[in-house]
Amino acid sequence: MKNKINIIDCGLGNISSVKNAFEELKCDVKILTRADQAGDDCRYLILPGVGAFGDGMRLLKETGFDKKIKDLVLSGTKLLGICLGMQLLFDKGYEFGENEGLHLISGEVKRMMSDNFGLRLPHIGWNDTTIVRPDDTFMKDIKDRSCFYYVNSYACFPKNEKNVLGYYEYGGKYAGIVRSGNVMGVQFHPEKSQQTGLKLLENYIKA
Amino acid sequence: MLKTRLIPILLLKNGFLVRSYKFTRHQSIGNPLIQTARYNNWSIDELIFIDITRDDVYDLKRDDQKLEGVSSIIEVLQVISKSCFMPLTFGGKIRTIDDMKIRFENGADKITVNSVCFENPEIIKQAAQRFGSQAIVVSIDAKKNPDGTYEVYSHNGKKPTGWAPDKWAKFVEESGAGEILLNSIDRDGTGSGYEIEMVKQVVKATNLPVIALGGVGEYEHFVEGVVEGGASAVAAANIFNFRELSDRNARRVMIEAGINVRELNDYLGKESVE
Repeated sequence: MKNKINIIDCGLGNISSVKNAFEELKCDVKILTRADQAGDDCRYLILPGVGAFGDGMRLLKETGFDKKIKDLVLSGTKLLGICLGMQLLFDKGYEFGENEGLHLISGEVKRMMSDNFGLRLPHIGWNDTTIVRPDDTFMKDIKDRSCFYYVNSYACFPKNEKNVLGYYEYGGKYAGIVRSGNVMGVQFHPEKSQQTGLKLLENYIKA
Repeated sequence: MLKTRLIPILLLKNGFLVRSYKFTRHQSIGNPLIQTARYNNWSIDELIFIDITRDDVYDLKRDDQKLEGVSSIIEVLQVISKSCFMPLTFGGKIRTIDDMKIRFENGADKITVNSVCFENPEIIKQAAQRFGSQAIVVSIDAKKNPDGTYEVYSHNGKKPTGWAPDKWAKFVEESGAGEILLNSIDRDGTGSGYEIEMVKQVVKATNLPVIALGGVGEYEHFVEGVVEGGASAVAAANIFNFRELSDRNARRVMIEAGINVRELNDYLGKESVE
């Protein structure tokens, strides 16, 4: 049976490449534009997104997804946050003011310190990702220092080191891959990271 | 560490992949979908497509290369994005926010704009607010004046704008652009190397990543763009179209020069197709 992947589309940027990637992995894809479209069979839920933290939370609230995501996670649905979607998993974000996040992983989202090191922001492009928990099922066959495609100026600072599966460096070390049980997040775009990215999405389904 | 990106540019004209020489002559060289499939198998960093379709330029038409059943640029984008798992930038003939929207909806990750920024400078800000700065690449085409200064040209290199490229880059950065694609009209298709002095000026003037374009004829030119020019990414068209294994060989030359690019052993992809 094909796995059914639910992708949240509440206006947080373009989701067509995420859809294409899961279709390449032979999954059925369902796009959710409102929370009530998530059925009881929603076992895989993707929260993609680009843009600012505050706007992201506002859109999730307006569409009812903020509460729905938490309910589904409690019922065991596997959630994957991509880019801004990963950042929204945390407690709080500091992009254009202070905003509450989804509180699914402890920690905060703050501007990267890269400009202090004379580096350009946004952090755009392929960066090495150091895998610190290679035994995690989400990291299966992902080589240490694999390259993924990133686009971000803000970064996640998890409170507990144990949630960090991988990190990247750009004027400081930042969490690139996080996990807390059935909640996973990646700062980069796996759907745009060639074969390594597709492998990671496959791991998410199996993890 | 963040890698220096190596980016093939595909110029499309009436659905054909074309090569360009100094913005004035275009020669059809094939089917863009076949070339994209090849790039995908090579595990390329990123691709930029620019639609330069217009009616007043000399064109070597080859009907045997025309795409069957793909009639619009949006359909080309749709087909490409289905099997292309790398960042895709689409540009050319974008005049409105709706033009951008339809490209994003059909698989583009970023769009690139050029002439419209002179007709309506506000559009950069509007686009950045709507789609995020990371999705807005401003493309700058410039030429060297007889006195040695540089000037930006719009409308496919035809219309002088009075702007110096470094000043214009600063302006578009402040308007909300996320990246700059800097092309030299004089160097286009000549194989004589990047207009390094111009790349340097623009890199110095802005904090945005600058993608250098125009003039690559040897792999060493990529190295110059990074080491001397200071570009965050280096792009080219012809060298990728006409040389065997150009991406890998370019990467090898860059690694030998000490430039931090994605390494060849990163590739999980299949060996290249014919």
